[in-house]
Amino acid sequence: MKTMPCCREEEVVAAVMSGRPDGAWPAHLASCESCRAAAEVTSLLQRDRTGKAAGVGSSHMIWARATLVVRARRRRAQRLGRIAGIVCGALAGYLTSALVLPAEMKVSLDRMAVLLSHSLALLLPAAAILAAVALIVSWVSRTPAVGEH
Amino acid sequence: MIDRSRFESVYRETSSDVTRYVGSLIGWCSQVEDVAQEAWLRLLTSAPDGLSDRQLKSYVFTTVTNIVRDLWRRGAVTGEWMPLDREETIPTVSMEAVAEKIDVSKALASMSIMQRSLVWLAYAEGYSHREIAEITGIREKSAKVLLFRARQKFISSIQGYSALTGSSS
Repeated sequence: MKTMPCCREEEVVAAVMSGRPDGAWPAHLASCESCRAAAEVTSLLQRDRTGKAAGVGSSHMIWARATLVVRARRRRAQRLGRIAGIVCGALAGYLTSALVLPAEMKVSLDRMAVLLSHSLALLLPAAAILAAVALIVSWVSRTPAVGEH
Repeated sequence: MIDRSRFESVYRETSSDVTRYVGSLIGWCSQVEDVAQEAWLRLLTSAPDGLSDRQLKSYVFTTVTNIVRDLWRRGAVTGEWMPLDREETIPTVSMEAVAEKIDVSKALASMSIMQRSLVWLAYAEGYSHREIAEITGIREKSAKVLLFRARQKFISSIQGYSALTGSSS
């Protein structure tokens, strides 16, 4: 047998699958061991494939399950959006107060810089908390894989 | 999410093919239905818009391959082999008499999951090398070579292959 696949193999397989391996194919099959093997395997698997009765249940059931999954996913996304909104709102409020209040109170620029550095120091942990919340929510909302029911 | 009438049309046309593909990969065990349903579910919940019917079918085949790969890695592909009712077979190019004696399921079971996938997609479903590469997540050139090796393995796995070639020539 040839050690490399023949470049005409796909055409041979298509011809066998169509049920009309006529024309130029018999001559090629006679001279190409690789394509002859491909034709035989195709023929064998086609025979096995058509002989198998296979069903997977009703499409209505799958559609209903998909509708439930999509609805649940939407609900989780809304919940996540609400949580993210609350955290972002709190952060924005804090930053605004840190920036606006010192100006109204006419404190020095040095004082404002100190406040800003403090707020940045708080911003990082807050961002970490936000990321953790997002991770937890996405983990909770993941679709269970097959065999994980 | 594709609309319901289109889903039902695609499902009607290809659900048997998908189930047979799953069966060829993991054997005809009780998990076949679960895997096939999960693949259809993912088509509805995750497939991008604008795919043609052929692309939708390929999407389901790709999903099946991924699900089975995950199950295989987790060692979760187990279960009893179930006998499957056979309908009347159609005449093919040759080998009818020989094919009766060959257990394709056993030959497939002796191969790796990737080899089963390649052989089934190429010779049972008639996918091109490019499409097989997309479905299995490998490069087209690799698909060609791996398919060739998988076919050799399949042939050598079939008991009495020498009798097969003798009768077909």
